Amino acid sequence: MGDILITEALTRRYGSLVAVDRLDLRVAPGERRAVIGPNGAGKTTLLDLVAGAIRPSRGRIRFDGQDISGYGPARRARLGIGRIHQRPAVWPSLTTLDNVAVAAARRRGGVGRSRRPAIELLDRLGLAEHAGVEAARLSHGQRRQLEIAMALAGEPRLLLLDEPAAGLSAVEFERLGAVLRDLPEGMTVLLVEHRLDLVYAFADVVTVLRDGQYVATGTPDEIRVSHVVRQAYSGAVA
Amino acid sequence: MKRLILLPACAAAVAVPWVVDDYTTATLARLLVLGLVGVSVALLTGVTGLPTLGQTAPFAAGAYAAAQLGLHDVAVGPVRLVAAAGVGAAFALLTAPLVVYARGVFVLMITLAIGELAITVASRWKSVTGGTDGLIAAPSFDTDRGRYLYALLVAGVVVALVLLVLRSPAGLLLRASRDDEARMRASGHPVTAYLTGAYVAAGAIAGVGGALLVTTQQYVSPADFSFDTAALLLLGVVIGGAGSMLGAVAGTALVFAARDWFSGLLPGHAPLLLGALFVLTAYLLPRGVAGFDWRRIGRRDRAAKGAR
Repeated sequence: MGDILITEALTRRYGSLVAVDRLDLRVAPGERRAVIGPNGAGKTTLLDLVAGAIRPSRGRIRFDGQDISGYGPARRARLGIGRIHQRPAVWPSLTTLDNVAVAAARRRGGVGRSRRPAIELLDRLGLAEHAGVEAARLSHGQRRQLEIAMALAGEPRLLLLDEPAAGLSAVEFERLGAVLRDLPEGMTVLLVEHRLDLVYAFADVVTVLRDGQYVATGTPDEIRVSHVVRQAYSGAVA
Repeated sequence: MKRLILLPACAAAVAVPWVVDDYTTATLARLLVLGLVGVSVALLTGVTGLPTLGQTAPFAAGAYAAAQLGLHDVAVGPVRLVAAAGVGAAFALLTAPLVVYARGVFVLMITLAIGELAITVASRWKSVTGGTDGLIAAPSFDTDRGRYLYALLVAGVVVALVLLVLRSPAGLLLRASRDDEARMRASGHPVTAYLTGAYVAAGAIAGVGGALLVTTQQYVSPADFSFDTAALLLLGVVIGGAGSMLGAVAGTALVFAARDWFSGLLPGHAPLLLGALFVLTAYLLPRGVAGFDWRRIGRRDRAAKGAR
């Protein structure tokens, strides 16, 4: 008991395809959980379901003891679920600073009050020199960093990260690693990532999915040597 | 650059009724009114991302409210303006659930239907609107110059207010909602509430436009709110640059002036010319006249010189 995120028989179908299949997950507060698996395993669908971007076909999601299955994404965000998207989602016509300030506005009680903490966040993510630049002019990697800053600006209790390392340069990857290490202790993180070096360095617990189904959960060391996991991956390749 | 143009433009706008004849002054006053309604269209189309053909409806609601007040001997301008704004806003609040959940071309279709319904109601509800005969409103100013200056003052104040709001955090929230709605929701923002707020504000602005219409032409009939008007408003806003309020005023005024002049010069061909104007704008100035980066011309010149 006391788990911050619980999914019960969570299922999402797209026609005859079952993207997420009767998934039971329990994530403890403050835990750093990674979800890995071959393409089509249902990782992003899982994050979309938890964030409220899509509704489950069956099953429930509990956050902090509350059944949030019927809540929309904005309400879940206000409860403390923050996310970044697989393709960085920022507001291109706003400046980098305004992007973070608007993202923090609900938490801080207004855009104006959010500007100072927003500058600090941009500093941490190496975007301070771009604060006044329209987000449309940022590179892919910078947008990725910006969306992480936007998600952190909401001070979420549960942070959903969908492939944060995709498309980053070596320098940006280093910085991402540092940012993830520096996340507040109490913040629970659900990380979907293909780069296993990052996963094994960051996660306390790793869950493996394949074809929408649960395969295994364990510590990084257990998962690294598990033949079940190898099979899941090699089966997908073959 | 923009500010350099703005001051002399304001001075010229105030001075113009002393320079031109009464007919032109009255025409300009009417263009100002349509320009103001254009601002409400631009607020929805460009800033909020709800392209609309239905702002003629709150425009009509405001106009009939002001005309009725005039008939009941309420001659005080601000009272009529506030009442018209209130009626426009109330109309928008009632129709908001139909509009704010739709996106893109569906908004166009729904708002088109709302505009057409409004005309039908205006034509049939004779006890309030006078039907197709329209209503003649008691004059609140004796001269065309007075009516023009009144319209200029009100339109100026409303546009300034809109610009202030758009520069405030509220403007940021609206632009962010247009840019990426999912990201807004993921940050906890109640996007639907923001869109409703913008739609109601646009309704109030169009309502004020309606009160000004009654003041400037002292007559109101369903023909003032036809589909032609709605389409030309949208065209003017696109030409002016949908995200720019001053561009919307200029673009709308330009389109209606062009229609009136063209229809005099080439009877029957005005829609064709306006269509051509629209296609040219879409190709050459995708962000409208106001969105064109004039510095680019300078840069291109320098680049050409550098290459030589």
